[in-house]
Amino acid sequence: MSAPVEGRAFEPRVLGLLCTHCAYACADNAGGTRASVPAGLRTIRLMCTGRVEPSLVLEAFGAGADGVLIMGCHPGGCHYKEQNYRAVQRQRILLRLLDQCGVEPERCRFDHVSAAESTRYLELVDDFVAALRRLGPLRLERRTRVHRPH
Amino acid sequence: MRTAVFYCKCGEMGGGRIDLERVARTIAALPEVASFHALELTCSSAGVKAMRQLLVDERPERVVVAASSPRELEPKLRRVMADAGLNPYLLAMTNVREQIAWVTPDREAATDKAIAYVRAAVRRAALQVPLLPLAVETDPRVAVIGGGPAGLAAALALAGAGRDVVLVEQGPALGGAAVRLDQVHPGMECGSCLMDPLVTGVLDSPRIEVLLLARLAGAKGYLGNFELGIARRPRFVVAESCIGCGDCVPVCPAVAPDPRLGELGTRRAIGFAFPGAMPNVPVLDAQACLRSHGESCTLCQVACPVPGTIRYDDAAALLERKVGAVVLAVGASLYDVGRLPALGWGTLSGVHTSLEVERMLSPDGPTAGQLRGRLAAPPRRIALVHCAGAMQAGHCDYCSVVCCGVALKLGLALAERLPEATVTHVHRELCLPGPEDWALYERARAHARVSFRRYERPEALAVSARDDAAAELTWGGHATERGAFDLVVLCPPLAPGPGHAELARLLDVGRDRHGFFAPLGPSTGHATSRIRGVMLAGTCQAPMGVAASVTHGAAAAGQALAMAVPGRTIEVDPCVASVDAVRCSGCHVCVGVCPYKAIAFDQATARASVNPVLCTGCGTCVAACPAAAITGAHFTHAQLLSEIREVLQ
Repeated sequence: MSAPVEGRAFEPRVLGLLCTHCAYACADNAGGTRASVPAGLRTIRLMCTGRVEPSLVLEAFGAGADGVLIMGCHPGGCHYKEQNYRAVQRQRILLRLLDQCGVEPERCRFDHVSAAESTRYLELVDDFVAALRRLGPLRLERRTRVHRPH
Repeated sequence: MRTAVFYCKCGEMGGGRIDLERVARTIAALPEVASFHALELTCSSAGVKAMRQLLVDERPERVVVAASSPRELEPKLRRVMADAGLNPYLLAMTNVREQIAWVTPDREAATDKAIAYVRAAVRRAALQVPLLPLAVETDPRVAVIGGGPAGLAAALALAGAGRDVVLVEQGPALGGAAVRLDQVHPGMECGSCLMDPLVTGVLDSPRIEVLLLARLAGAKGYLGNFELGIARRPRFVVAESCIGCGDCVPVCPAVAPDPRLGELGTRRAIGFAFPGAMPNVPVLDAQACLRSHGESCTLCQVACPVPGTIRYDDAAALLERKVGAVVLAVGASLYDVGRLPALGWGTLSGVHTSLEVERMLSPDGPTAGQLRGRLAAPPRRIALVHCAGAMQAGHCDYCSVVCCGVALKLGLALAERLPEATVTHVHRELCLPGPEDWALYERARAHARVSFRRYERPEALAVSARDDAAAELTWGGHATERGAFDLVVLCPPLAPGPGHAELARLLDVGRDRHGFFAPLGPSTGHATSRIRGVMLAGTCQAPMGVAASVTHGAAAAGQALAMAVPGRTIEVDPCVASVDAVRCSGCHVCVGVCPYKAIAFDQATARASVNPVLCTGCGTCVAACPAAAITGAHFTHAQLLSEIREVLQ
């Protein structure tokens, strides 16, 4: 968890789970433009967002991420037919799980970028980081709710 | 774990801001790291050579390369690994250039991030295991489904390369729709002149087995090893002994309107598919034959000069063929204008489709070139309605590219055939791809009796009855316009054929939102489906003309030749999923999520298993398995969790 440092703005730590065909390729292309990407964004290359299972996201929050950004191909553009749809379905359920765990669902986003949309990629990253700045650092221990049966 | 780390300076050359000394110091101090090498340019031939030598000298257990994008560099570096005698999958790459050096203005932050990424790769590498590519024997034979321009071109190219081909055509003759066209635009060759060399080439080839009246009924297997079931309907005429004299045809008493031609012509129960159909062998339609209506007619058999050629006991058969690849070239259909009741097709005598008029104009057609059909007299006022059902939600929501050319061709042919007639093109957009289509349009525009009127709203298009003319056409341009016409020709777009859905299901190839077979990529790989070993050719993939279909067929053949090579095994990427039978609970979840039918379920053991040849390594089943029984090689749970923890440091 990245706590705010005295006199310095809070820099969220973000895990980017990127599919190699569209999103990771897009991040590479964004690099080619020498644009500025927040240093707190840490990317992992997967073959497909269909590989993203809840435990990967939970692990990220446990390991200090303030947000997780999952990015895959556009609808219809998946290189494995339709697995990005599966990823979207799974993420919707994951958001509910996160809420129950005390993590604001806003901290986990799913978005689509094609390899050619480096400007859009940079905007999505900046927008997410700005949203996380507003939310502040993730404080897991304080926010865990315990549901007791009546 | 003795790990060698190679750090490429390419990021710094592009203006990056990483403190290499601090990275080297921190990484070299990790317990796993045995050596740290900063290379000038890893991707250069000098860099590759230096890396290979260091790998040979040091014989590390794991290798990490921090450089540019693994998307480009990893395949090359895996070959370097193999070349140095190391398993390629013991390499972990991390991209410190595009993802860090070039995008992080702050040197301190960039260096911290680079250290995290390289350390993550070192820890990930420790969890990686040697993987061996799978080798699969391939069957060099290829099945081509469809005997139109694309399928014929594919079959000929494959046979020319020495492959055995089985060509499966659902009709009784080869050549597709093109062979029956009087003129093929834009070159205006006659369809049979254009197609006959392809048809005879296929029929003469000793390497091509032609199965007519046949359709794909079953398919299993994968690239290199498909087992196809082919259902063949009886022809009742033995092609091997038939001499094509046609003596059986005129004696047949079962005359009925030809359902393929509306009321344009009649046919007998036995006959040739169309004049000049090849192979030159008649076919008996059992449903039309009097014998299936309780009579014992044998007139055709009696008339046949070659005993034993007409066989009433011919029966349907299910054939099996093994092939290494499949080319789908089943063509398309014209959109059914009966679904646009406002246009009057089937209810008004003056309304015909472009194909019907094309058939009427054909000297070999059902009206022997006479433009009559349902018309009382030769038409004097003719309208050609473009885009009948095209670019219209609820019908064909696309432009089918070839129909404007067809309409222009028909308009000119009608104007030339009927010197008294005026021809009005009622068009929406004009699609004139290529220099020859444009020339056709220029010719039409220059013609004194051909004119163009534009309509904008397809829903306002209507044809109604009128006393002094066969039909009144209404269309909405800038204002609503009306015209009286003796003949209204509807030019519908090409649409997926009725068999597309079933074929897509059998071979598991995807379809696009219009129903055409989906290619591998939106702009690349149009001759390849998303199923390895299944190629796409011609109008079953997208609307296109004859010339493009023939080219597409050859392209599909080329893909098939490259995929299933005789005597060569197919190397399959080992980064695939596998099921731990002990942990598998038999829940079936993985079977449902796999888009490639790579997961089989064994009813006897109630366990799932992955066919590594079909698996593409997307990892969806790995993520979906509730029992964590599926491992995605090279993207294992442990590897990803370790990478996540480390990059977030």
